[in-house]
Amino acid sequence: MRVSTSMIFNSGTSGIQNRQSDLYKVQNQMSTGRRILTPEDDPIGASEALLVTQSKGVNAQFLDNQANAQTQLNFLESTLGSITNEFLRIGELVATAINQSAGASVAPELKGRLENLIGLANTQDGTGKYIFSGYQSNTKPFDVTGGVPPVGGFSLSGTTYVSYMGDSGKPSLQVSPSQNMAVSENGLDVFMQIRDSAGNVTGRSLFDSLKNMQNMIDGTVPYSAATQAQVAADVTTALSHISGVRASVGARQNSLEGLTNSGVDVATIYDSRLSALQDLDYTAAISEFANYKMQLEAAQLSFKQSSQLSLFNIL
Amino acid sequence: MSSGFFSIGLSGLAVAQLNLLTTEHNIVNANTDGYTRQRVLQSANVGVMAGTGAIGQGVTAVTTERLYDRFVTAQMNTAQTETSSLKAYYGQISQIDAMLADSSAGLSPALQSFFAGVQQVAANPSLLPARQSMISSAQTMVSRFQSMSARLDDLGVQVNDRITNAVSEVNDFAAQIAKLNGGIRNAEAGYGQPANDLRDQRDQLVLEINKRIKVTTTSNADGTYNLFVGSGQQLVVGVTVVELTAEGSKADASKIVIGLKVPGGSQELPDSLIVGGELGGLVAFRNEGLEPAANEIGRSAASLALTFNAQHALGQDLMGSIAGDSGFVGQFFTIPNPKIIANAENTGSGAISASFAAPTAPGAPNFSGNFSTNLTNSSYQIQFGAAGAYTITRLSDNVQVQTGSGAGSVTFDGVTLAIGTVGASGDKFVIKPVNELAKDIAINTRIAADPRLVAAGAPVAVKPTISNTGTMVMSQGVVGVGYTAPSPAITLNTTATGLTGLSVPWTATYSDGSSVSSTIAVPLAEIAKTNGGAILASISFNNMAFNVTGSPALNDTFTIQKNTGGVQDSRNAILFAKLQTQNTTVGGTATYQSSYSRLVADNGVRTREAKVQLDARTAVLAQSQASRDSLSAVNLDEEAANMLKFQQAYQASSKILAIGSKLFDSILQIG
Repeated sequence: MRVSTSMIFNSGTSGIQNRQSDLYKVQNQMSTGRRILTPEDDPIGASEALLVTQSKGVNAQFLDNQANAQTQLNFLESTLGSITNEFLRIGELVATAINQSAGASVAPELKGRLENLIGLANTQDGTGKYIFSGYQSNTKPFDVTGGVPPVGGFSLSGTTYVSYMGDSGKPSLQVSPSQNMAVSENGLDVFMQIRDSAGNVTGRSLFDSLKNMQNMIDGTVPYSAATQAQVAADVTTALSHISGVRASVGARQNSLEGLTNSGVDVATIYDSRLSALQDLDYTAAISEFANYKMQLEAAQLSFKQSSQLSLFNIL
Repeated sequence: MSSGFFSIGLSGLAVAQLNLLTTEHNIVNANTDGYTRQRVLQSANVGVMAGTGAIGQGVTAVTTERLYDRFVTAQMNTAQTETSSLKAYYGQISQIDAMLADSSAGLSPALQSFFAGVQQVAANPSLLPARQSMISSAQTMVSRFQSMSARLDDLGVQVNDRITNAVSEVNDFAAQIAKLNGGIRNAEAGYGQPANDLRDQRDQLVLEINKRIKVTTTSNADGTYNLFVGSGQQLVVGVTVVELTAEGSKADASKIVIGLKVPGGSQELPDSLIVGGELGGLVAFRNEGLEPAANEIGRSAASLALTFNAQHALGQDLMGSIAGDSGFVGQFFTIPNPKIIANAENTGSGAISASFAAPTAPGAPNFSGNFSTNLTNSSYQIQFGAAGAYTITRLSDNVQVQTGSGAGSVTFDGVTLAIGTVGASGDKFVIKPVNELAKDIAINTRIAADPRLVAAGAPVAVKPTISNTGTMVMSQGVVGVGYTAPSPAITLNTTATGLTGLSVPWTATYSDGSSVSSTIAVPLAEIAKTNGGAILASISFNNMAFNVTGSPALNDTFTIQKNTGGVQDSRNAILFAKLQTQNTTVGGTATYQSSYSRLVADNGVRTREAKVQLDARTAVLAQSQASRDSLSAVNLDEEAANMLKFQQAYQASSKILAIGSKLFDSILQIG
C-alpha cells in the first residue's frame, strides 16, 4: 500500500491521542476511587447505585428514628420507674394504715406522695413538652380539681379529684418500613383509666384511689372495712396497671434494639453492595494504567523515529 | 535534421519543466486540506514516417490529472457525516450524563435530605427548629430541581445556537460550491482540461457540509455538482442555491428547527429528514436526550409536588388550622400549570387551558396506601378537525390518548384540559405538562415564611370518656380526600348491642372482613358490635376511618372531635415520610427515586451507545481517510524522488539542445 506523508503523521498523532485518553480515564478512576465516573460507564450499575443509596439513606433514617424513639422511651420508662417507686412506698403505707392507730402518722407522708405523683404525671421533657398529655404536649395534663374530692362509691366522673386536660393521642414514630411505634403514653391510659387484668376499666383514677385512701386515713371519710379493702385492692390494681404499661414500654425498647441491630447489619450490606457497584478495583486499574503507559511510550517513540525519516534530509 | 534535435529537445524541456512544476505544486500543498496530488500525463509525439522507419518527434504533455477516486471520496463523506453527527450527539448527551452522575449535584441527595427533614418533623412536630429544618431541606431540593432544569435549558439554548450557526455555515458553503460550480464549468469549457484545484476545493467544501448535515452529491456533464439534503431536497443545483433556514418552530417557537427557504418564507423540514452531521446529531439529541431528561425531571417535580400537596392538605398545622380554615395552607409546593403553545399557523380563536388532575387517592374506606400520579414524560398535541372535533396525541409514542368534540374538559395521563373555545379545523396546540415545570417548582411562600403552617398533625382525634369501663379502644383516626371534620364533635354511645350516634352514612368492617353500611336510602341506627361471630374492627364515615379493638361496655362513650391543641401529633408527617418509599409516580408503579434512576440508566445507556458508535464510526472514518490518502495524498519522499527524476530529464533535454548546437557548429566549420 502506498503511504502518504499525512498518513504517517495522522496515525502517529491519533495513536498518541487515543492512549492519552485511555490514560486520562484510568488516572481519573484511580484518583477518585470510583469505577463509574459517569453513568455512561455502567448505566445499569449507576442506576442501581442510586437506588441502593436511597435504601441506605432510608435505613439510616430509620436508625435515627429508632435512636430517637429509644431516647423518648427511656425517658418515659424512667418516669414510670419513679412512679412505680412512689407506689411501692404507698403500698407500704397502706399496709401500715391497716393498723388504724398508725393512720394519723402516715397521713402527711401519703399526702406528700400524692403530690409527688401529680408532679410526676405532669413531667416535662428537655424541650418543655408534657410527656403524659397525648398530642397536646403544650397542655399541662393534670390539674387538682379544687374542693371536689371523690366520694362514696368511688366512681370516676366529671368531678374527679384530679382532672385530665390532655387527649388520648399517642405520638408515634416510624421506626421501620412497616412499623409505627408509639413513643409516648398518654395520661388517660396511664393514670386515669386503670384497667384490671381483663382489660376492663376499674372506674377509679389512680389519683382518686389515693385521695380516697388519704380521706379515709385522715377521717374525712368514715372508716369502714369495705373502704379499707377497696383502697388496698385499688393500690394493687394500680401497681399492676403501671407495671403493665412499663412492660409494654419495655417490650417496645426491646423491639427497638432488635430493629437497630438488624438495621446496622443491613447498612453493612448496603455499604458492601455500593462498594461493589461503585468502587474501583485498584489492582486491575494499576495494571491497566501500566499497560496504557507502555503503549503511549511506544507510540511516542515510534512516531518520533518514523517522522524523522525523510528523503529530503539526505538530498 | 538539426531542427529535429531542437524540437525534440525543446519538447523534452517543456514536459520536464511541467513535471517539475507539478512536483513542486504537490510538495507545497502536502499539508493543504483536501488537496489531491497531481501528475502530468505525457505521451510521445507521433513519429514522421520515412524510408528508415518512423522518426520520433519528441514528447508532449496531454494533461495534468488528479489521482482521485470518487467512490473513495463518497465513502469518506459518508463516514464523516456519521462521525460528526455522533460527535455532536455524544458531546451534548454526555453533559446530561455528567450532570445526573454528580453525586453531590444530582437529585438523589436532595431528595434524601428533604425526607430526612420530613422525618425530623415527624419526630418533633411541636419543635419549630425541626419544622424550619424541613423547610430548609425542601428549599435545597427545590433549588436542585431548578438548577438541573436551568442546566437543561442551557443545553437547549446551546442546541438552538449551534443549529443556527451550522445552518448559516451550510448556506455559506453551499454558496461557495455554487460559485465553484460556475468557475469549474467555465474553466473546463474554455480549455477542455480539468480544473484540478477548483475541484479539490469543491470536494473539500462538500466534506465540510457533510460535517454539518448529510448531503448526497450528483455530478453533471458540465462538471457541476448538485447537492441534496434530507429525502432529496435541493441545496445546490449548478450555480443556484436553495438556502436552509433556522427558525423557531411553528408548533413551539422555543425550538429552532431547520427549513428550506421558499418564496415568502420557509418550509419546516421534519426532524426525521435531518440526518447526519452536526445538525443531525443535535436534532437527535434534542429529541432523544434533552426532552426526555427535561420531561423526566419535570415529572419527578410534578409528582412530588402533587402527591405531597395532596397529603399535606389532609393535615393540621401547629395552630390547629385544617382545610377550610382561613389560615390553613394546603399546598406545600407550588407548581405551574401545564404549558400550552398555540401553533403559529392556527387560524381559529381556540382557547384552551390545562391543569393537573388530582392524584389518585388512597382507597376508601380505610385510606391505606398512598397518593400517585399518572403523569408521563411526554408532551402532547391536540389537533382540531371539522366542527370542533379533536384528537389528542401523546408525542413520545404517537399514541392517540383522547378524542372528542366541542368545548368542555377532558382528562388524560394525569392532565385535565379545559377547552373553552374550539379551534378551527387544522389548528394545533402543543401541551407540555412537565417539560419546563422543574424550573418553576417552589415552596409556598407562606409556609416558607412560617414553618408552623406545615400540616404535620391529623385533623381528627378520638377521646374515650374517662369513666368508660369496657375494653374498646378506638384509634385516633385517619382522613381521606374530601373528609368532613367532626365539628361539632360526634359522640358514640354504647347500647347493649352496638354504638349509636352517627347520623351520616357509615361503613363498619368486622374482624372476618365482612362489612355493613348505612346509607341515605337505608339508614341504620346502630353500628352493631358484632356481625355474625366477628367483632367490630373499624368504622368509617365522612371520609374518615377509625380502627377499633376490644369491646365497649354499656353506656361507654367515645367522642370523635377535632384535634384541637394536638401539637405533638405527627400522624400526617409520618404519611409524608412514607411517600418517599411508596409508589407515587408512573401510575403508582415507581417511587420518586426509581423514576429518577430510570432516567439516569436510560440516559447512561444512550450515552454509552453513542460513544460505542462514535468509536466505531471514527475508526471507519480513519480507515476511509487512509484509503483516500493512500491514493490521493502527497508523499514527500516520492516527490523528492520525482524531483530528481524530472531534474535529470530536464538536464538530459538540455544536453540534446547542446549536442544539436555542436552538430550545427561542426557543419558551419566545414563550410
